[in-house]
Parts: sequence; C-alpha cells; structure tokens
Amino acid sequence: MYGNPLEPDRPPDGTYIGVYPARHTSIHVNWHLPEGHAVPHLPAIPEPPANPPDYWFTDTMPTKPTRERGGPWYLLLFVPVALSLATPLYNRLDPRLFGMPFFYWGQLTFVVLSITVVTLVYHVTKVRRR
Amino acid sequence: MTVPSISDHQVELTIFVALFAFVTILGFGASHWRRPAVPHSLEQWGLGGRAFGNWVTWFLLGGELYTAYTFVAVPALVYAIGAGGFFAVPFAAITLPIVYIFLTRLWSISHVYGFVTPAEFVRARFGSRTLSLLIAIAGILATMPYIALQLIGLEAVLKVMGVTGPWPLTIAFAVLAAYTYNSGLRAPALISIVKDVLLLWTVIAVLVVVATTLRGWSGIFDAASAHFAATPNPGDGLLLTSVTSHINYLTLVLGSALALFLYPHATTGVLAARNRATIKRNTAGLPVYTVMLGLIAMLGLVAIAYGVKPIAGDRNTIVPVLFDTILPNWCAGIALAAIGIGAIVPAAVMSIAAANLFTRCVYREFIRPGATAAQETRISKWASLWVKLGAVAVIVFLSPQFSIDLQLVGGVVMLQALPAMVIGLYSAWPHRWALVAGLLTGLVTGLIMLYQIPQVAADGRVLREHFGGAGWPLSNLGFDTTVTVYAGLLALAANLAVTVTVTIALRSAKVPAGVDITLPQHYTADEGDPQLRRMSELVDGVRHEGAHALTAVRSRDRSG
Repeated sequence: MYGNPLEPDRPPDGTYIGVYPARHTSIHVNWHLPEGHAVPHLPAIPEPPANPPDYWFTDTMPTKPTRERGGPWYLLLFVPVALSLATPLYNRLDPRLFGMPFFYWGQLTFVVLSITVVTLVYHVTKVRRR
Repeated sequence: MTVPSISDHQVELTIFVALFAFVTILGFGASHWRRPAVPHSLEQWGLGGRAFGNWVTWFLLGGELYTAYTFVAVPALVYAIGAGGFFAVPFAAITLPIVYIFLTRLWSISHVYGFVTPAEFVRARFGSRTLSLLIAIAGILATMPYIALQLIGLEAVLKVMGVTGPWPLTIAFAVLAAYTYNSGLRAPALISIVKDVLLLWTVIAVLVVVATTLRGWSGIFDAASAHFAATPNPGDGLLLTSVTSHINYLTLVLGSALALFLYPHATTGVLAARNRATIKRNTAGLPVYTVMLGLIAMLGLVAIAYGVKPIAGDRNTIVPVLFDTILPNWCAGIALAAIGIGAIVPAAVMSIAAANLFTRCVYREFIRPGATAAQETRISKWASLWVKLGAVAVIVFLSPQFSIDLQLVGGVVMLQALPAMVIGLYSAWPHRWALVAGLLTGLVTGLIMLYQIPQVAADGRVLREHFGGAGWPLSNLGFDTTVTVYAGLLALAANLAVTVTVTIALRSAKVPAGVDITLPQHYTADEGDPQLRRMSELVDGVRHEGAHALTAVRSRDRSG
C-alpha cells in the first residue's frame, strides 16, 4: 500500500531519502470540514524519526511570511497610476515632441515611467539571499 | 473605395499564406518543445508545465493581451473620435502596477495548490462551489465573444486582400484548433515570438514611412485636426473636449484596467510562469507593448491624413487598408500577416483558458470528481475545440455587431468577479453568500444599464436603441448632466455595496462561512522555496502532479 490514494498499488514518483510517515501515523488531517464548523487550528507536524535525514525540515510551516519587505516602496507604484488618471494635467497640445501633441507623447512617457517605477520597486524589494 | 480583388494583392497574399503556413508548422512542432516526462496532465497542456521563463512569458502575455482586435479596433476608434480612442495607452500604464501586486499573490497560491484557474482559488479561499461556478461561467461567457472578435480582426485583414467568404476563416481556425489540441499552451507561446518579430518590423516600417512623407508627425496631426474640425460631432478632436469626455475616458481606463487581469486568458498566461520574479519582471517589461500600441493607435490619425476610407463602412478595415496603401507590397504582406497571426495567438490562449475553467470548475466539480490527469486533459482539449467552433459559427452565421455587443457585456460581466478575487487575495472576511449575492447584483445591474444605452450618431440621431455603447448616462438617475460613466464600474460599485452589507448582516447573524483552506504564508510562496512543500506532499507523503491535492483530500474522506 503506497501513499497515492488514487492508485494505492503504485509506488510514488521520485525518490525519498528516509522514511516518510505518511499513512502510518494516527494524525488525520481533514481539510474538507462539514458545514457549520469553525476553522480549526492546524494539527502539529508529526515528530521526525530518531535519525532524520539531512533534508528534513522541522519547521516547514513558518508562522509568518519571510519574503520581500516592501512597505513604503510599494506606494511608489501609485505614482504612474495617479499621473495617468489625472487627465486635465495632460490634456494639452503643447509642448510638442517630433510634432506630436503632449497628450499623445505624454501618455507614452507615463508608460515608460511605469516601467521604471516597477523595475525600481522590484530591485529594491528583492529577497536578499543570505 | 472599390472592393479590393485578389489579383491586385497577389504578393501580399502569397507572403501572408507563407507566414501562416510557417506558424502552423511551429504550432504542431511546439508539443516537442520542452517535452515533459508526463505530457498528459492539465498543467502540461493547459499551462505549458508552469515553466515559462522571462522571455517566453513576455511574448505569451504580450501576444494574448495585445490582440489583433486591439490593433484593429483601437485605431478605428481614434479614426472615429480622436483623443478618446487613446484610452488604451493609460489603461495599460495603470494596469501593470496593479498586476505587480495582485497577480504575484495569485501565482503563489496557485503554485502551492496546483490551481490552473482563478475560480479554483475562490473555491479554496471561500469554500463555496457555487461562487466558483459563477466565476467560471462569468469567465467563459466573457472570453467567448473575445475569441469571435479576433476572427473579426482576421476577417478585416482578409477583406483588404480581396479574400471574402466564410471558408478562409473556417480553414484558418480549423488548423489553429488542430495544433492547439495537439500542443496546448506551448503552441501560442512559440507563435507569439514570431508575431512579435513581424509586429516590430511593421511598426518600424510605418514609422519610417511617416517620417519621410507628409512632413512627418506634425503634418499628420494638422491634417487630423482639420478633419475633426470639419465633422459635425463636437466630441471628437485631438484632445478631450468636455467634462463628459474626461469622465468617460477616466472611467473607461479604470474599468478596463481592473477587468483585464480577471480574464481567464490573462491569468493563464500568468500562472504558466516559472516563479514570482518572472511575473514581476514581465510587469516591468510588458508596457513596452503599450508603447507599440500607442504608435498603432496613432495610425488612426495617419489614416485620416492619408485619406484612407473603410471598405464598405467597416471601420475595422482602416488599419489593414492603411498598410495596403502606404507600404510596399511585400512589406504590407508582412504587416497583414502580423495582424492575422496576432489574431490566432490570443484566440488559442483564450480557448485554452475557457476550456481549463470548464474542466476544473464544472466537469471535475460536478460531473466527474475523480477525474485523472489524462481525463482532465482530454476534456479540456475537446472543450477548447468546441469553444473555437462556437466562435466561428457566431461570426459566420450572425452579424459581427452581435459579437461586439457580446464583448461589451463580457467586459462588464468579468469585472463582477473582482470582489471575490481581489479581496480574496488579502482576506477571507467577505461571506461567500454575500459574494454570490454581490456578483449576481452586479451582473443584473450591468446588463440593465447596457440595455439602456443607445447608440447616437454624430448629429444626434439614435442609431440603435439598446447596447449602443459602454458609457451609461448619469442623466438616467435624474441629474441634469451629459456625463456618462462606464457601466461596468457602476455595476461593480453596486456589487461591492451588496457584498459588504450582506457580509455584515450574515456575520452578525452568525451564518456559517465557508472554510478557508489557505494559509497566509502561501500567498508569498515561490518556486523552489525550501520551506514550502506542496500540501499534498506533506499530508500524503507523495508527490502529486499539482491539483490532486484537493482530489486526494476528498477520496481520503470517502475511504475514512
């Protein structure tokens, strides 16, 4: 009996280093709750075996995300949005560029600004690899 | 303008057919590209294996967001009313920052649970099959007319070369259906690269021609300005002329931007990406297409300056006729092929996205819950075939105006999925029944509003009583004003109001909400995250191929 409930006689794909206590524990995780039940706490992760292989992570579920810290930088993303929505600001013919009225090349500039801002925010909020 | 004939356009037609044959070969060959170990799973067929990197994602998203219809209809609008048609540029400019934040979250949660469609995410977040079914239906309904519109773009191109009748369209789509069935999302991904090369060539060619004739851009704008001054419509011109047009412009920009990434084909392109960084870099890179779109929009003004007239009153033929007029034969052939191929790429992706929605949210939920990966893929393949056939049938047997009307309705319909998806990405506070009520309210309100909008000609005559446009006049509420607001936004406002009030009511009445099986840290998960294991791996100890997490849960329940 193997782990895949759809095909119990088929060995799992991939290779496993060490024993995985999948169907042999008494822990029964039931995501599919009947109606009317409040959201339960998650059960604890099963205890690792006595000699765990190197790859085993005991804290596989961190309690809060440890990813990108953006905060104030994300507010910068509003700048091109606000500019593009401020129609009275760019609804004019002059100054012209290559003969194009400002209404047209100005909005194209906001697009370029959008690219710049998003690239900037991306680089600043990238996860720093330790 | 006389009706064009094939004999005058032999060079163009030859180049067009040759390029189409080339992309057909590519389409069939795409199934061998990045060939996976297990080809018959929905993630492989419908999402290309979730492994598209920066460049391929850029080409794919660009190909499906900047469609042939966009390149044909936006200049046609600029030709008709001038500045108001340029809304496509700021709309794309404001969409991308919004997408940067929201869609990376959607990608992460879909990566953890193996979601192929956004409606599945709603099911997991709010625990409501009804809500996810409604969103799936909204997605399918909104996408199908969009596919038909690509056919209209292709038809306009064929008309210019003198090819008329339903058979060329049907053959083109039959071939498209064949290689999409075979290769899935890989086919349009590969073909979009070709399309972009051709499009870039076209844009450069047009820029060169404009720069060297008619005194460059200043000549173009002077001619256009004179033309608009001579028309009876006071609302057209090189600039937005009144408060009405400002507000119409603003609400159209905002409404289109909010709806764009709710469309299933846009989320399909995003979910096919390899990791969060790919999406972020593409958010920065996709606006390059918008710059191209801006230049193409200005082609509407170029058409005015060159005195181009539409064929038989069909304004969608403006751009193809312009290419035919100002570019040399061989160049025009390349340009027309660029538009034609630009029609089949999004049609393919949209049909795949609609098929995925049907398979995951209708078939696997309600018809056959234990479907294996191979069965899912087969159902999806057939569904995408039927969707394309339906689109061809609509174009061939019904008028094109019908498709345009349907697409208008589709845009308003799609926007109503916003509360569930966008609020759902950050919080499970809305009650599922409130969301259902809100969605239905928004749908009904939007449809009523669209029904009330007449199409008025420049001199005030009413051309059509109903479904005449997207701007709903506020005078219907009793205000003494000519301001019109995009109907979709008003319907969305009604939707949100109902959602919030009903949620407050239901929560205070302690009506049980659905179970949210997602965890906060999953919304920022990334590819190869060492602290992440797929839910199915952790709980069952097996590597599942994606979305069987939810199926595995159910079958385990049954076995007790």
